[in-house]
Amino acid sequence: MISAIRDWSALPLDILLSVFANLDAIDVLMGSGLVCHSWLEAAKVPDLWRSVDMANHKAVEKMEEHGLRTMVKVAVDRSKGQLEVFLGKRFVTDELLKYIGDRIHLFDCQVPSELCIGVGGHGVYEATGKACPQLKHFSLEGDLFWYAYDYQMHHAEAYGIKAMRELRSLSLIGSNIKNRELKAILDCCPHLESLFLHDCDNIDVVCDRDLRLKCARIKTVTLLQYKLDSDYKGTGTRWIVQQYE
Amino acid sequence: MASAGSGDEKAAAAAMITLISSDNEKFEVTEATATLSQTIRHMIEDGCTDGGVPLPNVTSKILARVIEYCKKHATAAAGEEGSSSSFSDAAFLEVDRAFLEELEEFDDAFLEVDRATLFDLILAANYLDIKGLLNLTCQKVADSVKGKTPEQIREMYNIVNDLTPEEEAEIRRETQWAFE
Repeated sequence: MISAIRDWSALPLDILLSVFANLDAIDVLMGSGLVCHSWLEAAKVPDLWRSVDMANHKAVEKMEEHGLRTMVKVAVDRSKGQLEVFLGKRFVTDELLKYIGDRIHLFDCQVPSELCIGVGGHGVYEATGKACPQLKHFSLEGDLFWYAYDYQMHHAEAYGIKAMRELRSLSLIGSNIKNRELKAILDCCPHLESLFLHDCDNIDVVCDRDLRLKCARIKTVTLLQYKLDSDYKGTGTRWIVQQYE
Repeated sequence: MASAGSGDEKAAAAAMITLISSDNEKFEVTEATATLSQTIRHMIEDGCTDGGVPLPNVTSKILARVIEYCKKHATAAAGEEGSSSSFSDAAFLEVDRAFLEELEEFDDAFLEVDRATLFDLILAANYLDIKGLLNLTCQKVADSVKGKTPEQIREMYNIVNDLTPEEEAEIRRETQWAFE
């Protein structure tokens, strides 16, 4: 019989990384990454922090928002500027976005190619745009009810997207963005290839020829929404425009 | 390949590889099974498998399990390639799904092992460079530590907390959310 003692703290770094790659950021930050010296070392490898999902862990709902923001900052620091994908929720603030943007520039290794923020909040677009002017993909999922009851607060916030001049794809879900704002974005983001709008009730392409013309240079425009034209208001007619060239 | 190769029998015989465990047990496996290991694949390509492949880091107990895994997954790979032409698309998809389900069941049952065996399987998969097996076993470890505190994990895997005072201080500074 061989010795039954197996030293799990002596696992090669590559193997620990394979284990940690199967865990959420929160699990590494609060659990496995704090077990012992070698596991902590593995938890600090920047590669592990290219993608940080802080939206889909059950602890997100239970934890205090300040704590979640602190965790994001630790994750961003550990990525050494290599963060490519970030998923957050309502706890994300302008200050946090600025922190992310600053660090990614500070390390200056790589600009995030994708920053997905499932968050609805005042000034988020602008903060993101300013923090990450080289952002290539932006996705934002709002809370429909929240927007409906809190309308004034978000007025014209979408103008902030204009700062993301390198944008390749833009996805807005449940945003209160208006035609005028969308046109301003299209003017300022010449590289935009894909536009996805879902439940953005203030957008009306049917009556706005100017907007349709501006959309014409974008490869793929996908609109999924309830039309709120006076004719259709209240009927909940769903109209879909896809591959609109 | 032997130059006097005549007929399928000879070809099949030539495609057998002998693996030798650390405790000197010999395992005859087909080349298709053996080459799931990138390490062995490279040895075959370099032509240094005559007289068997010694694997000094792998015991017979673990090697038997690894071969069991490779056999199953080599069959799966061969089945996928072979069946595509003989079925209609729908039938092929059906077979494909059944096959994948069977494979998944096999993997689940395969992972029903104690922690020491899991540890040895991980090291063997790493040494033999068998990507699928390494992913499978690492996923198993990840699942077992999900949602656990550091202390629970230490207990589970018999790990001694050897963090330096500096590291402890750093963790406390970084993870105030967990201690407040």
